[in-house]
Amino acid sequence: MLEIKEVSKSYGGKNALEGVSLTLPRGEIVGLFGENGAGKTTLMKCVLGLLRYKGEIMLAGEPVGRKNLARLSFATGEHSFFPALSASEHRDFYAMHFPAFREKRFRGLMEFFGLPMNKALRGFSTGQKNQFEVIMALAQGADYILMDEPFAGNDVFNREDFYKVLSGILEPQETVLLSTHLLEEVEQFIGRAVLISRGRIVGDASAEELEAQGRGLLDYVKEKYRYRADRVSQALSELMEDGE
Amino acid sequence: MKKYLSVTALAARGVVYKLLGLTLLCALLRAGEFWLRLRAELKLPEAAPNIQWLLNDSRQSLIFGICFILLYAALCTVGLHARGGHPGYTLYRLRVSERVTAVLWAAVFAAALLIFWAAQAGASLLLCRLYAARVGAEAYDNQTFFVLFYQNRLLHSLLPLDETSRWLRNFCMAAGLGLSASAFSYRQRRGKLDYPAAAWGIYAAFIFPYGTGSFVHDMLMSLIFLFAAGISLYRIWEGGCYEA
Repeated sequence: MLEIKEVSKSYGGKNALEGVSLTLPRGEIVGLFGENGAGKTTLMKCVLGLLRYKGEIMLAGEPVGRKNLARLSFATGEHSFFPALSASEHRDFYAMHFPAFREKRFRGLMEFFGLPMNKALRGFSTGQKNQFEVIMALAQGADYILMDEPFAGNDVFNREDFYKVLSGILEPQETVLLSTHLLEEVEQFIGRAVLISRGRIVGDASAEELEAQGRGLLDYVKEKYRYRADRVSQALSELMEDGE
Repeated sequence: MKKYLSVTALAARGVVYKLLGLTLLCALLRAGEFWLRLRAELKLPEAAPNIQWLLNDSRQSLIFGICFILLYAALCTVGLHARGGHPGYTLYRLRVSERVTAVLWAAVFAAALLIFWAAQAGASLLLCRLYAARVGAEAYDNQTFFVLFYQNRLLHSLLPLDETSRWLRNFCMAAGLGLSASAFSYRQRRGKLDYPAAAWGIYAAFIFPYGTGSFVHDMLMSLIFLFAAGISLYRIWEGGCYEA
């Protein structure tokens, strides 16, 4: 279990996270949603120890550190791979450094996306780089896979197919924390939705709870963010008045 | 052992083509400049030019210095966080700690500088051969080139013969610059731009041919670059999070 307790983080006096508490049991697929600058990326980086923070982040009862860091993997739109290496070189390198590396999964996903094995990654398209980033996060053998906007730049067919494949390949002990703006695309895929806004958790509901309430993810998000359905018409009418 | 070799190989791969390219470029520019001067001198009715005068009046040190700075800059860019990727997120999670990785990379960078110097010393010997082939045997004797490597500041610094203090200075310089370049990259991944580390390369390129035959100068320079090495090691040891 990954426990995030009262985590706060500020950048030069500006709060990015304020007392965030969250528990991620093993085997869940959790969607992390929020507007730009809400704190999604900051939260993930705090979990990985990439950023200093106040509070506590525990993995199976122990603080996240060098000893247990390999149990977490990270796929980021910033790309964490080595641009000069090819996919096969990455496979060999990661297999050496992550003992639980899943060779079979790596090969399967490479074939699924049709990525070249022997071309340096700097020669990949943005979409291919994103796909490779996700492949490496899934193939490391980590128990907790953090994905931060992993499919920005990928076409809708690739994304949808990938979610289906992901649902099929994940093992019961694997947890995915997926940050994305693409609510409708992941609605069928996630088991839980966590909403973050201005550095605070503003909503946390499982798919079952939402289903029992007869609400869709989008309605839930709109409600939590106090979305005003009339804001577009109001803005348009104000603009029209100004024009006159 | 393999895990250490694998991270060392990352730096070696990042350096090898830049080192080869700049070594060749520097050697070709030096040869070109020398050839033009030699040809111009040979057209004159006077006796064949003295190689020592030719080299002392040349821009060999300037060409060498510029290529040296370019090489140092190239070393500083290995492993940087840039648009192409953020490899630090992976380096941070490997079985080899990122600090140890940074020190191993420093060793690679120092080796790259020593190889560059050795190659330029070799290129200087080729210039001597070119001179011998063009001017005829009457213009030089058995001692000419041996003496040249004592009297020309750049050549003597590249191949200090029995001047132990200059060998020591060169090794200290390579160690100091290797660690500075690695510390630059290490800190840039944490959002800190280490301008003093960058300045060491310019300083080294400037002073490289100076102070030949001065034991005190060489000892002082050795101490200065050991100091640079110490500062860089401290900055790597200090570590810190990926705040940017």
